[in-house]
Amino acid sequence: MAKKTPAKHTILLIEPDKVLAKTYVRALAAASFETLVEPDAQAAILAIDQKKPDVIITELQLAAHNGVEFLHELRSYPEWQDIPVVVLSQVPQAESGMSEQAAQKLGIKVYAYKYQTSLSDLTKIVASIL
Amino acid sequence: MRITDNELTGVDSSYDVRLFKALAEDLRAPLLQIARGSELANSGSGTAADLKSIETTADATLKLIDSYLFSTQVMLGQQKLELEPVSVKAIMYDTAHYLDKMCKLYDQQIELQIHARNTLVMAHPQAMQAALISLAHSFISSFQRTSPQQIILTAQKTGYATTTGIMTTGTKLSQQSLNKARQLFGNIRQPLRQHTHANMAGIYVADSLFAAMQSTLKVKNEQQHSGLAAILLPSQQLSLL
Repeated sequence: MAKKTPAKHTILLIEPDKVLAKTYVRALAAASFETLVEPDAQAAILAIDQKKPDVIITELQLAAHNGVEFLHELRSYPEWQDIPVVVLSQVPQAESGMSEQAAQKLGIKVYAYKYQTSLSDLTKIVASIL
Repeated sequence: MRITDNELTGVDSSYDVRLFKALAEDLRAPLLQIARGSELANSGSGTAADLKSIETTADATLKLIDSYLFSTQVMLGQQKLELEPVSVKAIMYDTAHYLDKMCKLYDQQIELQIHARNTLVMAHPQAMQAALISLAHSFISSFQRTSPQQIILTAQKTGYATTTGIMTTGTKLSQQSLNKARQLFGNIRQPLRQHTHANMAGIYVADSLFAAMQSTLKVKNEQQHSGLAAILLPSQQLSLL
């Protein structure tokens, strides 16, 4: 009898920088995660509607609607309350205007500063959440 | 942040700080791509294409820094811009050649729209190319959508003069957003509305270089394209041909 391969966890990466997004996808794939990429909040909401991800990794600095607005919208839907979120942003948390309490309320599990988060750090963060 | 007329037209004491911040922001984005790309290449799952991508990013960033340094020399008066008859077509082709690899990296297509093929304009070749490269960097890194975007190097005859600049598809620009970017106001990473990673120092540098060539950068909106362009006067040499 053939062995069943465990289903891959799906990550939704919201990252406007295409070059960087491709690198993150490759690193997450090497750690056996399937990653979908969207460049902005609106596209991300549509993607979640199509397939609910196991984890969302998001930049806060996005075109049109910023990441905080996206998170508020995400949490306004009852069926998406439990999706864990990792913020991977070029804005340090101290400058984001987001308190620990507010981050918790939005379901942010980890707030990572992009310039100090290696690929290996990111895959470890995602693995620790799942 | 509300911007007063004085702030938009006059000298601001914090201007140098804003420029310094804009330059730092512009340069750390490609450095991050290089750092993470190198990590991937060294992780065992990297490919030759990853190394090529790092090389392209590094080369493009070095070229951008060259443009910035050149503009600094112009602003400090160390480099005097003697305007001379310049072939728009030659500069455009040369610039497109430099930008092609970077555009491909971002899944964008570079296109030349030269409707002033044999036109000679009064410009400084190095300054003109530096301005176009700075502008293009700004546009390439700003307009990152899922579908491929076009980055258009344009040169059009507009009556007596020639309008030269960079256009793209999908986004309309306003004069107000250009003014903010020009003066380094607003969000450093989002100086132009609806842009995510607009390279503000790039717009500032292009603006300064066109000003040094006695021209002004303006918003140019067409039916399907929008961008920034400057009007360059024709060479008198043309009338002798």
